[in-house]
Amino acid sequence: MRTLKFTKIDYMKTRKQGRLMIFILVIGLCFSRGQNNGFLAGLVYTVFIGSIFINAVFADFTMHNAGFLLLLPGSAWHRVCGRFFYGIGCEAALCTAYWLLATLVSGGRMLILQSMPVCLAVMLIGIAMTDLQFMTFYLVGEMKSQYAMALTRVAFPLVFWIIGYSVLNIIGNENEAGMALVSAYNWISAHMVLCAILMIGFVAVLTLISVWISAKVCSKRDYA
Amino acid sequence: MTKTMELLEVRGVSKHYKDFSLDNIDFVLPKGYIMGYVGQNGAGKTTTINVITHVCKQQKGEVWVDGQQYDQDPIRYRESIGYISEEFGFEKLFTLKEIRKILSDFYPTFNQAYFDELIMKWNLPEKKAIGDFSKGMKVKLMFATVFARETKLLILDEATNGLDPVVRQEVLQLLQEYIADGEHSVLFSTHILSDLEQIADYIYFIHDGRKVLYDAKEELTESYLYVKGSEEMLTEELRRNMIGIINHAFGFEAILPSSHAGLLTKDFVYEKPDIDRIVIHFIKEREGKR
Repeated sequence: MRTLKFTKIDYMKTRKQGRLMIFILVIGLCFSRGQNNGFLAGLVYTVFIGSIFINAVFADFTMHNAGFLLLLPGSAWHRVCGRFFYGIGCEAALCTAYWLLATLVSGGRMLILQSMPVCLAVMLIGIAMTDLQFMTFYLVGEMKSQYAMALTRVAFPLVFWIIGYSVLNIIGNENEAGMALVSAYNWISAHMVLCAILMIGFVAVLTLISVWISAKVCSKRDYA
Repeated sequence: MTKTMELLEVRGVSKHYKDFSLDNIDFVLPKGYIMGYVGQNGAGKTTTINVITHVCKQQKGEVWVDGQQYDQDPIRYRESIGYISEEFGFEKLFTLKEIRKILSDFYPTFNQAYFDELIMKWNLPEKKAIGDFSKGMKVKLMFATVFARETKLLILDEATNGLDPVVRQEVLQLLQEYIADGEHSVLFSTHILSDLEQIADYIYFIHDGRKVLYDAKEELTESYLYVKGSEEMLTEELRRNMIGIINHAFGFEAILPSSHAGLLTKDFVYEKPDIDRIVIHFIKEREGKR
């Protein structure tokens, strides 16, 4: 419960940015129009931009404006877990909101169940990216290097965008890469439940490891 | 093992940075007392306080607050401490509404009615972002957040600097009321030594990360004499025993241990020193030895 109190503080800190998420969703939906694999394209774009805003919770961390929060009753584990819950919650909310809006806007042309596996896959990849990004922030140190923090803020979403956009360009091509992707997609479709369990399991383990490493680092570090 | 006689125990604490070291800081603060923690800028006061609040981790030594170390119960440890500083602040986008929510969530003893009373008394604006508060307003808010909940130990780090004289007097009064029941204590780090003259029971003087003086205030002021006179009157023996001799156009001034009062003739002017005088002359003595 104490962990969720720290999560609540992160939401309070970034509530104004939360309102920007609505614009991100709208722009994502607009981006999906006129694109091959529009739903996926818009979702990748939304997660890319959304991730930059989600990690803003690490920005501007100085003693002058963070001291009060550092002194709140709670261990490093509570603070770190609370922060990860915040990041994962935002990714999940963003993807779910996009999925619902896209289904609504498509006027029922895109069946809810058809788009759900794609949405879940991208959401899990987004959560994995958030885990790695947050862990990097904690390893770099919130107050040690603002330059390194700024680099980390854009690097992970950018890598996500590059991979996502490359996949979108490969889909539908009749070259080797395109055929391989189609085969993979067919295999996944045939083993959807197994793939979902494996993916969820992998992301869960990655989250646990990231939280553990981050909390260990924080508990040894000053001003963390 | 728990210890319950003293509210704050700092035992052999050392903390090393690249260009500064806090070395073997050792003191206790009994329940019901106020300790003044004094020293120049960069002496190590804030580092000591950061170690006590566990914002920084010491390389050596132990800190006990109300019989607990941080690792034994981090939540109770932090709940016991109320910390006020002009440097340690709030999230600048928050308003008082968010502060209330956070305090209610984290501190079971938070008294919102008393918090609101202090907010109104000190005219803190409800809807303004804390980032737009003046320095004095931020410090007043910190006092309100701390006085509106149950704590055992108050730590003030240059907390009264930004306050106007009326509010400062009010705060000093509140501090004395705070310790009146004999169950609470205050560690007060400040440059405004006149505040300590009013309320401190103990003084710990730190310089370059090391202890210089540590004693009850009354003992300290009784142990020394503030001496003035003309330079020609200084014998070799007096010069040897004087602390921090300051020469100026009209003569000299210095601190002398009371035990050597017999060396003074009637030509000297001497009186009981205040804390200010003791600190200034000890610093002068240390600087002279560098």
